[in-house]
Amino acid sequence: MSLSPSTSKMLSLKSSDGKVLEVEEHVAVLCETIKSLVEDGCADSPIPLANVDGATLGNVMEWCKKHADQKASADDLEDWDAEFVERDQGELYHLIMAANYLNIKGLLDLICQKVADMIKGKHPEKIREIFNIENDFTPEQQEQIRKDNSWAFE
Amino acid sequence: MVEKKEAEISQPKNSNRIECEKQEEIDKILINLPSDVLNSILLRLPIWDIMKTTVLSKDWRYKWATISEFVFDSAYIQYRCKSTEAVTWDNIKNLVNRFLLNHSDALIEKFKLTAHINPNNSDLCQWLHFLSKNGVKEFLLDNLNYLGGPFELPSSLYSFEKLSSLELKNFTIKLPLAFEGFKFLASLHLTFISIDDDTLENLISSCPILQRLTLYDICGLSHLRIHGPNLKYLKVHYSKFENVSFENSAQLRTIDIWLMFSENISNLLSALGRVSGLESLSLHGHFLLPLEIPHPVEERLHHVTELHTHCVNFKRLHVVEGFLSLLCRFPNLEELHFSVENTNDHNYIVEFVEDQSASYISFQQLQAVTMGYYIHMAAGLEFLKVLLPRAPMLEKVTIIRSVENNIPEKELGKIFGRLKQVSPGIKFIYQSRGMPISYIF
Repeated sequence: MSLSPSTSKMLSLKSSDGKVLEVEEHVAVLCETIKSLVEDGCADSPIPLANVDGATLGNVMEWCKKHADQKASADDLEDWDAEFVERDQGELYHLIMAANYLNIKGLLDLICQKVADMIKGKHPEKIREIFNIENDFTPEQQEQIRKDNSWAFE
Repeated sequence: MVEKKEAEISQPKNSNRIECEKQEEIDKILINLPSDVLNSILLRLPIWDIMKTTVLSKDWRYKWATISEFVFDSAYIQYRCKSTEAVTWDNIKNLVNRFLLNHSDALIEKFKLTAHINPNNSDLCQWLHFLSKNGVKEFLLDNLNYLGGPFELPSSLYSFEKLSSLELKNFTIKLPLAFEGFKFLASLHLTFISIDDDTLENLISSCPILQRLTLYDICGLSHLRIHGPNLKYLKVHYSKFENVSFENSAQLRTIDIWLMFSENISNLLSALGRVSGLESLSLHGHFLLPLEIPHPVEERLHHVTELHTHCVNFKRLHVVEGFLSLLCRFPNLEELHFSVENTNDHNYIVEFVEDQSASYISFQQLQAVTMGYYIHMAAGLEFLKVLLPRAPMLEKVTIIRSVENNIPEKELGKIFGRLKQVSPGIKFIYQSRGMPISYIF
């Protein structure tokens, strides 16, 4: 069964911090988790989403709304997505966890690519800085690890 | 008054605390991601970026070895480091051993290794044994050691049960007696492989769902026998064989052959004629040069609708004739893609046309032609003049120059104007490398 915008009804989604969001069904079903609830007829109103806070849910639904829009061209979506992922690490972290929990492959792929791009070609020191990773190696240990795979650090 | 002051002070404190908690949570942002999400992130990185994570922190030390794919191309790493000494066998050995250690009960989706492998590397034997039990789906082994000649692979390779894609380069293939086939293999890619007729036939026919078969630089063949009930795509380049036959290959739709020597083209065409589902054929090589194709044509490949061929040398009369009579073997051709060898000499084509010996030739179904060329297109254009009046259904001719265009638009207008005179109803398109737009005449 395909859900077109014209026949779409509204679904209520309730975030972990108690915020309720009204979303069109054809938008919300981009989340596989919600889709299976709807298909099984157990989409209580409002649907409780215990692992997603209100702000993140809003962001996720903004993405779903854009991607449910059948008028959006592939180029348009690409540009829009590039802007969508311009966020700080905290927001990206919450988005990635939400996309994983709600099972939205497109959004999960998008953010995984964004995070990969944040690592790609960077010096380890810079990666630690970006992701707040504490270096708990002694300088000697670190030197040894580098030596083991010196080709990777050229 | 006092109370209000306290409230003012406590508020920022409180929000600081939240910020701190949030920060702590985010501090471990990467390492605490669900393992499949972290896997998905790391798989998007080249191996050197993955290996850089080993020095981030103790948590990260062996994180790389938990990912579901091992892809290591030492040739590329050496090129990148500009040093042939960049990666030693010991490096590779340590990495693979660590990776396999971390996957004793986790599935490896993909294992791809390009390295200088010695026949006496006992490690390889152990790895293959481990991998054969692990359910690997994609496997590539590319041996950069060309000095010792190809050597036989450990037999445990042939007991990989879940394999769906197999790619081997520079080995000798001998199947063990107990070989039961690759039940799930959909794609097989062999390059620089030494194998005999029976072994190859046995290998192909023991892969019941094989869809794509690519053979590059295969030696040891005399009769290439293809027996693949589900085979859809076959590519054979630079491999010497005298004879070819297809059995039980009803699904075969696309065949791409690059002939290396003066193989028996007539035998090949007869064999291809028996591939009843064949739609797209690519034939390349200098087969038109020394071989005469008989005409009028006896055997025709009625089902082929698309033909690709490279480097046709119009400098010689018998190539012009040969090419046209080759085309005649495909009476239902809808698309023809060819490229011309770099020659400005087209006297023979003119001679050929004036001779009128080509009157039997026609292409009733031909709708689109693409001609590629390097610098000189004159010979190709003359050939088009032969072709155009013989193709009543032709709608579109595309000419593609493989280097940057140097012909002014006015000149192009003249060239295509002359073609338009021959066939006014046809749309002519001219493209060249680095040219953002095409000229349409």
